[in-house]
Amino acid sequence: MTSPQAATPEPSWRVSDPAALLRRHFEDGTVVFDRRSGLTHQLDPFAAEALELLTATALTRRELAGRMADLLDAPSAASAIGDRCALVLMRLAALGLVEPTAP
Amino acid sequence: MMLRDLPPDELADRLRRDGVVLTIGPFAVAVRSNEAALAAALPVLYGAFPVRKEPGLVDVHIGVFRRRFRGGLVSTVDGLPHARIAQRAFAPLLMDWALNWTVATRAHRYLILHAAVAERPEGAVVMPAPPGSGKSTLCAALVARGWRLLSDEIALLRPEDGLVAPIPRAVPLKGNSIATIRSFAPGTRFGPCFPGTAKGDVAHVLPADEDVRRQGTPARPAWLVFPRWRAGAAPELIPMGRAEGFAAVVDNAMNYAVSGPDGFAAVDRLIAGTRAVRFGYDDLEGAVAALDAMVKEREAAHACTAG
Repeated sequence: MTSPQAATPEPSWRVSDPAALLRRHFEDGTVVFDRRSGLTHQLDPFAAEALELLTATALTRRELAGRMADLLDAPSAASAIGDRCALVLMRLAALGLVEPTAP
Repeated sequence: MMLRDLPPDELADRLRRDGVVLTIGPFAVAVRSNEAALAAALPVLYGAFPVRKEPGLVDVHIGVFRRRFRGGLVSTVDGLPHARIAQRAFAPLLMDWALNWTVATRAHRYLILHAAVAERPEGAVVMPAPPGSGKSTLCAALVARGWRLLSDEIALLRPEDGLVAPIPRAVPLKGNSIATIRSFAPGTRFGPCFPGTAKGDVAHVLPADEDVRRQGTPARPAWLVFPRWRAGAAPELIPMGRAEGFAAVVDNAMNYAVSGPDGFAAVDRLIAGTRAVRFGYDDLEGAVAALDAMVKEREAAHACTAG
């Protein structure tokens, strides 16, 4: 008899180094300058809002999706918002803007 | 004294000996050469630019010299070899190449955009675009219709006040663009033609003396126009969002990677003070008319607000 494996806890995500980022918000999105890389990134409003939330506190994908659904006032679209949050987290992580925290 | 006022023999002699120091935009450029083709072309391409009486401090020493044993020419920047070419007739192109390289790699007090800049009394239009976008041809067409030339391909943005420092050198046209501008504006003054370069035939549209005389007067950008020549396209100005415009400026900034937060702030200032549009065009008459109307519309809007 084998014991069931414990489910891997979902990681939390946070902005890697908030002090390194300069941001400028516009109606069509946000541009973010990363002092560490010297690169500037253009984020759409959804990704920019996610970055703001992850600056304030570390969140799991599920938690981020819940916050975004609240912000968008669209609880019925939670599934789609969750999928989009997963993509945004992947993209922000690839840019080096967010990182997983230890569970 | 303007360069063209120097007697040819004296110019050739000074180029061979101590060199001449030209004020080209905000830069003091010392030029030395033993190549007759450069001595002949300089008074045409840079004829209206001031020659310093005393060398004083210079920003860069550019040399264009005949190679003693292997033929062809070598250029130097501050005494170090920069580039070589086989055709001595292309000496002026070699000098321009060295100057462009120097500005792009050293003039980091500016945010340097790969952009043409032309100005109407209503404001300056900055036109960032990669090579092959038709930027030089459009710039030459605007200048032929009375716009002030500030830059053909290197826009120098001053971070401290957001103004563009002029560097109104001759506008190099390539291939079919030469005939296009000759047809569009038959009175356009051209420099010598350089046939068969790696980029095809090259000929320069000469800057107006007045534009060179005003090279110490910066201009405030009012528009960001991202031009794109497309065969058969009707002139179309498509407004851009500010984030989109910001990213597009960064894409065309030559020294953004070394400018750090100052570069970010300079682009932010540029975006805040301008309206950004994408501009598709084919026919130059239509393109110039569209940009004329664009700047006048802004002026009319200002007049309405003031009234």
